[in-house]
Amino acid sequence: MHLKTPGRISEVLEIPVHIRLTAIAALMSLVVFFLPSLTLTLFSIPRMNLSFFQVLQGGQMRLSIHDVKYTLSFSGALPFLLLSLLLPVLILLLIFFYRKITEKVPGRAVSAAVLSLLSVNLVSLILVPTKLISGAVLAKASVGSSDLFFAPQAVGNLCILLLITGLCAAAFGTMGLKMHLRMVSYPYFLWLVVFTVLPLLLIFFAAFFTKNSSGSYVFTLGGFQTLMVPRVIEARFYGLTLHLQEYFSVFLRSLDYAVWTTFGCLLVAYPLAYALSNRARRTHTSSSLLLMFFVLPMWINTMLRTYAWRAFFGQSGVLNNILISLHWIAAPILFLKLDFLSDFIIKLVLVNDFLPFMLLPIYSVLVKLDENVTQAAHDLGANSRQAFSRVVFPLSMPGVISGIQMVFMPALTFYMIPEIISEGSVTTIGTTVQTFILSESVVQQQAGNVLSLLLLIFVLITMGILRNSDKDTGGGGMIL
Amino acid sequence: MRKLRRYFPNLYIGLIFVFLYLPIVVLIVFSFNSVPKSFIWGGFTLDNYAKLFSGNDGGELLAALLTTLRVAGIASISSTFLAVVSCLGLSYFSKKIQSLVLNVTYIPNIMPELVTGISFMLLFAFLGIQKGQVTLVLAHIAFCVPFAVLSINPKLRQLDRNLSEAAQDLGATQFQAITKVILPEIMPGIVSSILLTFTLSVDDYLVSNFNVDSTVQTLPMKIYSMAKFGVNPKMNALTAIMFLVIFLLLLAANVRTIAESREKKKKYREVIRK
Repeated sequence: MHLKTPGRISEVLEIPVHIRLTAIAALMSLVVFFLPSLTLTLFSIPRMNLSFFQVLQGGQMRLSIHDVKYTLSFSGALPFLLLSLLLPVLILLLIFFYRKITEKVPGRAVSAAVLSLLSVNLVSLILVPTKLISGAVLAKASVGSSDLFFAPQAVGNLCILLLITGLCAAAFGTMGLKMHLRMVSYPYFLWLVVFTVLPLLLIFFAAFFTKNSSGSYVFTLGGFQTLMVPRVIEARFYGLTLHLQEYFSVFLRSLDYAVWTTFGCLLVAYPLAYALSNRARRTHTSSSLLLMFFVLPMWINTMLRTYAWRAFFGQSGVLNNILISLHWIAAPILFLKLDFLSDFIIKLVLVNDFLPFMLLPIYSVLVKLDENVTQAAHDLGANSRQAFSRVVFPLSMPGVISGIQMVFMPALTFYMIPEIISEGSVTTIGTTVQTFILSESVVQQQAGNVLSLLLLIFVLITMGILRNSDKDTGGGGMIL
Repeated sequence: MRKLRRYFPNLYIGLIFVFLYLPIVVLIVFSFNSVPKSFIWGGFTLDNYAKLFSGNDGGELLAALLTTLRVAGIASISSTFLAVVSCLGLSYFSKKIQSLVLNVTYIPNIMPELVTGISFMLLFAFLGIQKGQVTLVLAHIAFCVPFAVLSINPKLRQLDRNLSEAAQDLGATQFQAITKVILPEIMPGIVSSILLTFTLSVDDYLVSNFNVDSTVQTLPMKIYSMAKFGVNPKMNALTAIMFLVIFLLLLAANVRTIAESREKKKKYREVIRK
């Protein structure tokens, strides 16, 4: 049973959403008309900010092109100027007076009329700039039409976008479809395709195809061959000297850093999150301020922090000075030059950098954990160690997994910290990809693309293993 | 022994605290260093603060700072806006489509940042967009969107679906139901999304590095390129100021919650006493 309250009826008589959107679009095109948002840019002349209204009023403009003064007349653009002034007004009048006069809700006919008017309006808005300067003047100034362009600025861009939205809305009304709130996410689907799906496909594509000199794409495996060179280098891992293929050893080194960073972060962050959440529960306050202090370092530039670490451990650094002044050591220790120590320091700095990313997800899961769960475990005869290992830890698993996700992936390619700490003597996978991609040679670029594809596949497989069943609760941990 | 056990958590918290803040303390101390371009102590000076933006390097620093703030501002606001709008619409789709869209959204989250940067570079080359400010902003928005969705979508899911219907039954239009009921409810998510994306954008180096031409430089890029010839103490001074500003802002934002929690504590104690 539908109860038709007076409020509902008046709502039914209201202007439909799509017509309203069209009205907004028409208003926006008027804004474009009056705002000096169109930048007239011409080769070798200064930029000029003009609105269509100024153009319409002036009719003429003096410009110097290649230091020669020209008088430009805008008569060619006059009809389009008038159209883009009159059409929006006409649309607005149509929308608002239709209901007053006919006492009917604007239907498909009105939508169709508005649609056609709006599209003519858009076309004329686009045509005005191109008609402004006649070809004769351009030829006289020996400027090609390609040097001449009119760039709508931020406001103009936004208005054009709204105009197109309005156009879509009017088209909707014409087809007799009803607007639904779910439609607002359609642009996002487009965004996803362009900025997530397409880049992924392009990485696959670029790993196998390169552009040859004639501009067409050809299939090659040159990138793979570059990576598979049978060049063996000596690599030292934990005192062991291994003979490994060049890029494999680089990859192994990065993996070593990433695994240790993740493990170290987990080892440090879990007790911390546990202590913090216990504290929060015990004092019945949200310890958000304390937590904030642990997140605050994230706001300080990573690289500056890394340089500070180098200053701390350096030859004439803070630590050496302290140790010498305490007479504990006679000569400065070269922390960053010793193989084993510098390796350890790199991992330490990496842990320092990624700690908040591990802390937050774990904390947000632990703090939400019901105290009674532990109590129940105790009641059922578990001691505190069992209660932790069998109840609390498994329950905090989503936080741990999302923490691992947040740390492992970036740590794998984050080449700046190893490079800064080791002063460039350690090569990680990130550095390799970077040099490949930014090199001039096509084969090297392709090798970079292949390497990033392999990295991507490796990471996706790892994440597939770690797959988080409930991403949203874990991800909520990122909320500061 | 019992005493030790009781104090151990606090001790641990303190220890990690020192570990996290050690580099920042070093940084701030060296911002008063009088020796230019190095981390070797040469004496106390306030010059780095007084002449922060003067001189050649100061001007470059200011330009980089402004670029970073502008890009981060645009990226955080537009990615949050996009996330709010799309999550609103998404909640009207079936569970299957929702999870499909969310899974696709989260792909960049589990991609290494370096690969994300390269993929955007390939995309812009494919679309024929010249590298520069535009690509920088677009890339930043694109890598911020998943994080924005990640902060907003859970909040929207916790919301009762009937809430907006109730509002509409009480005479609100759909638009009013969104602006007056739903948006205030998910406001914490929006705020944390803006904060998070802003932070990510300000600190980003890898994605920016692949998507700009030589004319544009963000602060991390500036720091990285400058530091090859020794770290400029002005950079430290700038960081110290930024740290202080962020610290005060967060403190101000938290003062109210602290006061509230104190009140709660007091009430709780009173209840226990009774």
